[in-house]
Amino acid sequence: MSATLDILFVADARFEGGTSTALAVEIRAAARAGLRTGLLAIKGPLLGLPFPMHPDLRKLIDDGLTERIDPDMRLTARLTLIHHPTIVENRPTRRLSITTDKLLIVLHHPMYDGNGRRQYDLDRVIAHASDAFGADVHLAPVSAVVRDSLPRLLPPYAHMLEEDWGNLVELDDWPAKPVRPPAYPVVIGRHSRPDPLKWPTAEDAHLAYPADGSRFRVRALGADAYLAEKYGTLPTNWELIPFAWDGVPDFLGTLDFYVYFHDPAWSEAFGRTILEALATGLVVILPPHFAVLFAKAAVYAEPAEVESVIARFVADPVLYRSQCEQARRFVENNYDAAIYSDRVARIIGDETTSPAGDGLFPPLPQRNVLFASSNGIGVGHLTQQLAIAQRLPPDLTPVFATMSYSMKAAVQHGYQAHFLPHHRILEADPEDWNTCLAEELFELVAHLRPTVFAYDATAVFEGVTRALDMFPDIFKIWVRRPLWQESHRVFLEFSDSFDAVIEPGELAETFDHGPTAACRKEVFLVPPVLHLDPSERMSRESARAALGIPDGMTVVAFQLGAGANFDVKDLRAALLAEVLRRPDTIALEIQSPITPNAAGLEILGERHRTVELFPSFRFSRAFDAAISAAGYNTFHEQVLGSIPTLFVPNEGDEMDLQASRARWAELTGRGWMMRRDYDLGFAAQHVERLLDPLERAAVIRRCQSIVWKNGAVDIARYVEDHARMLRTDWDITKLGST
Amino acid sequence: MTPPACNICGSSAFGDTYGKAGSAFIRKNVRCEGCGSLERHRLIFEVLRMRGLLSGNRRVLHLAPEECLATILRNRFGGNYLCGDLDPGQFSFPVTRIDLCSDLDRFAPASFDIVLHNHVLEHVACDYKAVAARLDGLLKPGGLHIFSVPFLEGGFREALDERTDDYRTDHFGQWDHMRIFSPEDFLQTLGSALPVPEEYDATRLVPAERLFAINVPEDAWRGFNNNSVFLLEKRQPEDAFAVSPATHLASARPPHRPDAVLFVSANGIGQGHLTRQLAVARRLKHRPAAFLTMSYSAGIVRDMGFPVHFVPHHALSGEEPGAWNARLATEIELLLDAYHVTTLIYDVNFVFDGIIEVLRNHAKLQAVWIRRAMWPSHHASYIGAGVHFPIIIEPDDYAAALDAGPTTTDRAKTTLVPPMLLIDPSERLERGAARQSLGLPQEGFVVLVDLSRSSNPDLTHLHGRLLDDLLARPDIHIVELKSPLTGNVAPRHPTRHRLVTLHPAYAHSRAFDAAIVRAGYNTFHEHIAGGIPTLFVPDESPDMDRQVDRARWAQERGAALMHRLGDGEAGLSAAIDRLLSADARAALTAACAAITGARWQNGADVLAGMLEGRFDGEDTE
Amino acid sequence: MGIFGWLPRRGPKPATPEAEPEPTLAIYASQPALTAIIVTLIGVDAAQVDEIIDVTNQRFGSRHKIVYLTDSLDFMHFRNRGAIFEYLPSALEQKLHAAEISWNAYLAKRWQLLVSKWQPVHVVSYGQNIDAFLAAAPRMTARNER
Repeated sequence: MSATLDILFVADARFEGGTSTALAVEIRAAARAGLRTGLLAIKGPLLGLPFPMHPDLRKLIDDGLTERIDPDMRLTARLTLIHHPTIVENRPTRRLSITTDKLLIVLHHPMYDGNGRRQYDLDRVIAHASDAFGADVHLAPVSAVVRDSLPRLLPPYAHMLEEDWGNLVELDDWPAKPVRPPAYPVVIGRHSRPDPLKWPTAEDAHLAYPADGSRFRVRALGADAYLAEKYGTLPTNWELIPFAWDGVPDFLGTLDFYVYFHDPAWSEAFGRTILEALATGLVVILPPHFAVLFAKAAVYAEPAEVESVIARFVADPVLYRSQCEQARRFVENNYDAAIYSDRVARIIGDETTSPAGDGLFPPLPQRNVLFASSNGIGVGHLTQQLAIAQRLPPDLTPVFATMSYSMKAAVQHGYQAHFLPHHRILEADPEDWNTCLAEELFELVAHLRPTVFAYDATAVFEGVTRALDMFPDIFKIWVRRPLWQESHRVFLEFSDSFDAVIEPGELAETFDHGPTAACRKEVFLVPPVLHLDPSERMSRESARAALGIPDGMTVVAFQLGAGANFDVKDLRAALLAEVLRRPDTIALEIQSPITPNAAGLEILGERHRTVELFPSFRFSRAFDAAISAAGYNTFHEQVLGSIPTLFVPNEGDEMDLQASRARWAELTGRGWMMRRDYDLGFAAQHVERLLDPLERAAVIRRCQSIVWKNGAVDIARYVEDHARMLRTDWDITKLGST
Repeated sequence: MTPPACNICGSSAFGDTYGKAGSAFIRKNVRCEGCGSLERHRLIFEVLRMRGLLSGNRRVLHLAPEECLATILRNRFGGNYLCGDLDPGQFSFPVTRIDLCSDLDRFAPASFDIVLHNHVLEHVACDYKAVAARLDGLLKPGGLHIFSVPFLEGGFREALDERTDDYRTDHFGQWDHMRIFSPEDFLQTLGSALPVPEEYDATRLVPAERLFAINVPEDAWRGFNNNSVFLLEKRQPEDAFAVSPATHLASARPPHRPDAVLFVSANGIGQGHLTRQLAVARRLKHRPAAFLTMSYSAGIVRDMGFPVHFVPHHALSGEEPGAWNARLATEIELLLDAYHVTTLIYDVNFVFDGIIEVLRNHAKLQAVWIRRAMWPSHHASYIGAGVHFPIIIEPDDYAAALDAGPTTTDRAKTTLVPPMLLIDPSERLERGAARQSLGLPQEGFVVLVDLSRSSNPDLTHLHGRLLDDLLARPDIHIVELKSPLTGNVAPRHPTRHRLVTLHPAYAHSRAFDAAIVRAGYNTFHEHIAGGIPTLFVPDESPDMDRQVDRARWAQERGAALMHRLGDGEAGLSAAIDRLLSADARAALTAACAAITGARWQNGADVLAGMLEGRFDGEDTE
Repeated sequence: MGIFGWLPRRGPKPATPEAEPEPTLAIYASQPALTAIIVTLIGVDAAQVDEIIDVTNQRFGSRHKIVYLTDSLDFMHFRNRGAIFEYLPSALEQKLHAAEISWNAYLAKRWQLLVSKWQPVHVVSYGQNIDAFLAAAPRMTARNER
C-alpha cells in the first residue's frame, strides 16, 4: 500500500539553530495550506553528540501537522525537500521506496567557507540524492550568496532553481517591538547558536560591543563560557544569556540596536538570526558584506564605526523609527511564511487536490528495540529499561536480552526476553565467554533486526561491542547512570562504541565529582528516571489493605538489599529491634525476587513481616517510613515518592556512590543518612527520629517541593525518534574494506 | 499626525526626484530614500496590496523593472515573475533582454495575469499603439494591465527618426523619449489602442487619506499626469452556464399562467428533505410552489412564505395503512387541482402507495424524485419505486466516493446535479452582522454545536461531556441550535452558552469560528462549502443516511475532524484541542476550499432552472 | 573477583601462526579439562526440577559440568542450587511474539550455537526433546511491511 504526500521533508531534525527553525516554519506553513507532509529524519555526519530531535519539530509531529516517516515506508511525494546538503554527503545506508515528482536540495550554506575551505562536495551530494530518490535534482540556494558560490557547470541531471529558497519567518511569532526612541545607555544585543565562530575577533568585538557601561549595555543570547575562552575577561556591561529554545522574541524586544559581527572564518549564508531581528523591527548593524542580502533593511558599518552609527540614530528619533519600520517591512514583503504555499505551488503545480489513493495515512512499520542489560546486583538495570520500554509507542516493540535473574519481570510485562548467562555463573574464562557472547548477540540481533539497541550496565563487555560492530547501522545507546566510583573510570572508554550516551539524572547531581561528571556535555542528560510515576501508585488504603495492615499501625519498610557484597546483617538487626520496640509499628521487609533463600532471615515477632513485591514502589503509599539502601532506583523512588527514609548506603566496591545520594538527602532535608561503619551505635536515635511524626512531615514537605518530570519519557521519545532515523553519518561504501 | 511613509519599504525619509536641473520632471520630497520609489510606484503597490494581488501564483511581466517593486514581486512570484528591458546591464539584479518592438511574439497570448510598465511607452522605437495592443494581448481574461506614461501639454508628438538629444529633450522632455503624450489628446492617441478611462482620479483606486499616508501628493491625483496609474482589466468572455440536464422539464413555450410545483415530503428524522425542497422552491422565479408534508417542521415552510399542507403519517394517526394511503392520494389530488400543479417533486427514500396511485392516475403529471445518495443498506428495497418516476435527480454528495448504499447501482436514469443547499455560502450574513444578530461579542471564539436530535443515551452523555469540555475553556462561546423537536433544555452557562432557534442557521454561520455538528446532508455540505472548521459527530442511527461515511471522507481529506460515539472521552478532548488550534483550522478551511473548487454552483439552482426551462443561462420567459 | 574479572584477559599472543588457536566458540576452550553435558528440561514441571538436578548431579556431576536447558522463567530454582542453565523461550512465549522474530530460524541457530558453546558429551532429555521443540517453532507471522 503506497501513501502519498504533497511534501516530504528530509532533514537532520537535531540541528539546534536556524536550520531547524526554518524547517519548522515551512512545515507549519504547509500544514496551514492544507498540504499533507511528512518528515524523514536523518542522522547526518555533522552532529556527533547525542542531540535529541529539535523540540519545535517534535511538536509538529506530536500535533499531527506532519507525519513521521520511516525509511522503509512506501511513499509517493509530489515534492521532496532535502534540507542541508551535508545530510546526503554520504549515501543513505538503506534503500528507500520513495518516488517523487520533484526533488529539491535546499542549500543553506555556500560551497566554500570564509577561509576557502569546501563545506560540502556538491557532486557527491547530487549523486547520492538522485540515486536515493530516483529523480533529477534541483538545487535551491537560500540566498544569492549561496547561489553565487555554486559552479556554473552542473551534472546533466542537476538543475538550478530559478528562485532562491529564502528562509521564512512566521510573523506572528515575531511581533514588532514597540518603538521607543533610544537614549543612552542604549541596549545593544545579538543572538546566535553557542559557537565561537559566530563572534568576531577580540579586537572587533571590543569595538562593536563597547565596554563603556555608561553609554552601552550589551546583551547576548547564546553566549556563555566559550566567550571568555575566546576573549579573556569580558567587560562588566556584557550580559551573557545561555542558549535557549524559546524566549527569543522577548529578548529581542529588550534591545535598541542589534549588532552582529562574526569571525572571518565563518561564512554567513544568510543569517536567520538577522532576519528574526529585522522582523522584530530593530535597527540592525551589520558588516558590509551583508548588504547584498538585506539592502536598506539594515545598516552597514565596520566595527570601528558602530558607535558613530548608533550616535546618529540616537540623535535622530525619526530616522530611528523609519529604519525600524524598514526592517520589519523588508521581512513582511519578502520573507513572510505566508508566501510558502505559493512557492510550493510553483514547484509542484497548483492543484491542491487531495492525495490520490484516498485512505488514512498508513501506520508506521513495526520496529524492534533491543534492550540489553547486565546482571548488576539487583533489578536496577532491568527496571530502568522497563521504565523506557513501557513508554514507547505501540509501533515499537521492546525485546529484552539480559544477564539478570529477574528477567521474568520483563516477560511478565509482556515482552519477549532472552537470557545471556554471565561467565561467573558458567564458571568460564572471560575471554572464552566474550567470544561466545559476541556470537550469541550477533545471532539475536541478526534475527531481530532492531533499529535501536539500548544498553544499560556499568561495564561494557567486549562480546557486546564486537557483536555491535557487525551492525553499524543500528543506533546504539548506552544508558549510563552517573555517580561512579573513581575506580570505574576505565569504563568510560567504552563510550566510543555507542552512538549516544544517555545519562538519567541524579537528584544528588551536585555531589557527583566522579568520572562521568566531566563528560556531562557529551551526553544526553535527562531528569531522574523512574519506572513507575509516583502518581501511578496504589492509594494508601488499597495498598494497606493488600498488605493486610491494620489501622493505626506505623509501617516501616525495610529494603536494605540482599547483602551479597556489603554485609548489613548487624545493622539490620539493630534497626529492626529498635523499630519493633514500639507497640504500634510493623517492620515490613521487602524481598527482591532474586534474593537467594539462603539469606536466612530471622523473624522477630508478629509485627515483623516479609513480603515479596515487585515493583514494591507501587505499594509504597502504604509505608509511613522506610529504611533502605540508596541505589539509584530505590533512592529516587523514596524521595520522589515522598516516603521519609533512613538511607543506609551500600558502600561496596562495585557499587555507585550511594553515600553521596544519602548525604544529599540528609543535607537537603529529604531523608536521613546512616552509615554501617560509623553509625551502628546510634541506631536508637536514628529510629526515634524516623518515627517522629513531625520529622517525617518535614521530610515529606521537602520532598514534595521537588519539581520533577520522569526522564523515562525523554528517553522513550529519544528512542522513538532514533528508531526511524535514516543514517548518513558514515560511509557505507567503505564497509568491508579496512 | 504620523508623517507619510513609503508603503513599500517603510521608510519615512523622502528626497527630490532625479533629473537635470531645470528639467520639467523634478518634484520635491517624493522620492523614497529607502527604496527609491516614486508616487506611481507606491500607488501601484498600494493597489496590488489592497486587492490581494501580492500572493497566489500570478504570472507577472514587468518591463523596465524598478528595483523597489521587482524585489518583492520576485520574492512573491518566483519563476512566475519575468522582468525585462532593452538594456539589462543597467540593473543590479537579473533582467531578461526584451525588445518590445520585436520580442513580444515570444510570449504566448493570454499568458500573464499582470503586465506592468511605467514610463516605457514613450521610449519604444516603433509603433507604440501596436506595442500597447500586443502587451494587452498578453493578458489573460481578468488580468491587469498596469502602466503609466509621462505627459506634457501641447498635444501628442513623436519622432522615430534620427534626432539630437537636445531636440528630444526640448520636444519630448527627455533625451531618449521617442514621443510624449499629452493630456488633451490622450484618448485619441494611446486611448485608441487601450481602453484608458476618460478621466483619471486616483481616489477611485485608493482612498484619499491613504494616498496622503503613502506620500502620493494631491497634485498627482487627478488629470493625466506622470503619476497617473492606469489599471485596465482584461475583459472576460461570457461564461457558459454549466448545466447538465438530460431531460427537458419545462414546456418549450412558456405557459400563460405558470403551472405550480408541488413538493411532497414525509416525516423522516430531521428536516433534510424539506430543506432541499425549500432550496429549490425559493429559486423558482416564475412558478409558484406549494408543499405537502408529514413533517412537524412544516412551520419552516410557512416562515419562508410558501403554502404548506400537513398530513400526519399513519404511525401518528393510528390509521390503517391502506386507508391512509388512499386518503393521501386524495389529499394530493386536491392540491394538484387547487394549485394547477404540473410538476410533483418527491423527496423521501420510501415511496408510499398513495403517491404511486396519484402518479398512475395522472399520466401527464411530471414526477421528479429528488433522491440523495448515502442510503443505509437496509433501505435497498425502496429503490424499486424509482420505476414510477421518469426523472430522478440526485444532488451530489461530496463524499459520494464512499457511498456503498443502494443508490449507487441505480444510476441509469439518474441526473446528477451539484450539491443542494438552501442558502449559498455567499448569501450568508457578514461575520460582524451575524454576530450582532445573535447577540455574540465581536471578539471571542464562538463554536456552533448542533448534534443529532435523536434520543440516544450515549449521545446525550457525549453532548454533556462536550459542553463541559468547551465551557471549561475560558473564552469559548457556544451557540447551540434548538429545534422545535428538542424541547426545552436549559443553557449550561449564563453568558457563554446560548440556545437558539434559528432557521436557516446557515445564514449566520460566518459568525462561528468552529463547529461541532452532525453530518447530515445539508449540514455537511453547508460546512464544507462554507469552509467552516468542523468536528463532525455523525449520527449513526440505523435509519439515517450514512453520516459516518461522509464524516470519514472529509476527515481523510483533511477537510474536517471526526469523532464517533465509540471513540471515548480522551479522543473527544484531543479532537476539541485540534479544532481550537489556529493552524489546524486554517488547514481545514484550505482543504474545504480545495473540495468546493473555484466556482460554487447550487444544485437547487440547477433544478429550478430545469423546471423553468432555463438552460445555458437564458431566460425563456 | 572484582571488576577486572569482567574484562577479557589479555594474554600474550601466540608466537607463530600455527600456534594460533582455531577460532572456537567453546566456552571452556581455555579450560580443556572441563567437559559438559546438556540436560534439556523443556516443558518440565517446576516441581520436578529439584529432583532432576539431584538425579543428574548424582549421575554426571562428578565428571562433567551440567548445563540445564530450560524454557521456564523461574531462574531462582537453578540459582539456589548453584546450577548452570541456559534459557530458550517456551512455545507459549514464541507464539506470543511470533510477529517479532522468526523463531523457527532463530532457535535453530541458537541451538547450533549452544552446541558449539558447550561441546556436550551427551544431551539428556527430560520433557520434550530438542528436535521436536525446534521443529514446532513458528515462522515469523506477517505484520506491517518491513
